[in-house]
Amino acid sequence: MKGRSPTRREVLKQITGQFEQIFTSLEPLAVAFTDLASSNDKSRPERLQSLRDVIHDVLQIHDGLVAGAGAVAAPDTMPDRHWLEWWWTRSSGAPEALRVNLDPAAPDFFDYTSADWYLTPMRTSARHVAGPYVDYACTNEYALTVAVPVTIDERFAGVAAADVLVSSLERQLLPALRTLSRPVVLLNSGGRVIASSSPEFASGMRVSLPKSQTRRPIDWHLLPASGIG
Amino acid sequence: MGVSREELTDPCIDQHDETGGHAMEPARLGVGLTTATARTILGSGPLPGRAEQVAQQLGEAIRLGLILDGERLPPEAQLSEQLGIATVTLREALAVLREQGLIVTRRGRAGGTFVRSPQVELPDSPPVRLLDFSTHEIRELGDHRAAISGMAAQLAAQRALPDEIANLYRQVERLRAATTVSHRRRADTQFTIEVAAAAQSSRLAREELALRAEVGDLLWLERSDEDHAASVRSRAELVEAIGRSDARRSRVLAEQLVAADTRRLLATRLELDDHDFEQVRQP
Repeated sequence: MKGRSPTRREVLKQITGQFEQIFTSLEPLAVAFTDLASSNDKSRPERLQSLRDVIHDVLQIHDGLVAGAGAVAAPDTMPDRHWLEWWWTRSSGAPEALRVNLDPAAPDFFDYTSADWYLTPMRTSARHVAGPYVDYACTNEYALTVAVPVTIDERFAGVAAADVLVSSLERQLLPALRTLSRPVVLLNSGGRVIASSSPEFASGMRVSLPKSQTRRPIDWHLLPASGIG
Repeated sequence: MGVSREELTDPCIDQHDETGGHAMEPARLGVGLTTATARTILGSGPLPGRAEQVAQQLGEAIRLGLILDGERLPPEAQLSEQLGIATVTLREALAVLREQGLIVTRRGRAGGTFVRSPQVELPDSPPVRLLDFSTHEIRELGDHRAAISGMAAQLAAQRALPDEIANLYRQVERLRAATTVSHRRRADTQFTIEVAAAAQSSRLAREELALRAEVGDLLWLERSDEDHAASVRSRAELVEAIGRSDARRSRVLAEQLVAADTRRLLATRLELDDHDFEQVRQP
């Protein structure tokens, strides 16, 4: 016997629940980064290794959904002014360390301090899901970044974060969206389409949303496609 | 599938329907792979070997400034692993780059393989690389760039959120503040890619990057400060149209930016006469 079909609210809760789980997985990563940032020259190598282990755990736990994960430091938190430890999964094989240029004088300087997934957790001291956006600086994929702020002695020290590719998310999401009786569109707080079960809408499109009052970490909307102008 | 047999068979080839016994299943007597199909598959030339491909891509990265002038390449074992190729393939590719003068290898304790960026040409030297392009190719290039940049601008106007528009304004200011040719070129490349990113298209961003790798150095040849001020103004105008969500105007403005580049490239190319060509080719 088939149960009643779920409501939009339930499906949205299921989707945001997946991201809540990623937030939860990022907590040990934040702790490992805090340990590393408070280390001395002697303990640093060992703590860097622990951080890497935790990053690899996050990639493994959310295999198929999380494409990359790591920590980035607020300027001067680590001995180097700009610092990050980031790993991403290859389609086959072991995770690979992301290589970017962190020299501010270089033309290809990767200035993560101007990225939404860094700035918003810094400004709000709260968890944040940034995007979707074109991650042209790193992987050149269309992605969301799930980020939690790291605070040491009440000072912002950086973020622990994970990347979710929109294509992977969609693969997991679409079956759930299809259980709804009408085509629906999943939107971020800015009115950008994340996923859609309607051919009229596709990821990346922008629609106008009524001004949202809430300021939740995942302030997304799941709306019937027919009601969107 | 609703296509008549006459459409499927080639009228140039004799049909032996009655004797062939293929009444139910018409044989497609074609010419095999047509030249046009083969060209489509192969691109403009024969399929290059793996080493040539790697050499071409590394060369693009150097030309684009992704690998900096004077930078030492990592050891062969590390680089080949990072690129996912065999060490011997990498060695072949490096040999090609060495021949093109894009890398130099020095022996000794401070030795290694170093990048030699082609952009360190003197500003008043003849734009040698432009001689590789016929005016026809410059026109083709302009068409390609207009298609990509025009579409990127149009989609950016339809899709960008306020943060992204603010970022585009910042990119224009970076371009305005840039004083050297290489800084201006990089700021403009960044601007172009940010527009494609604001369009929410990784493919268009990738395409813009590839086009810049191909010709980015040519677009910023011999520009006066007035030229620079004009290009900053026109880019600011484009961002304003994107900010207004005026998709049609954004597309037109982006196409005009490319058209201006193309006109300037054509003018410069036409000024290079055979005399320059001889001097460059037979020094």
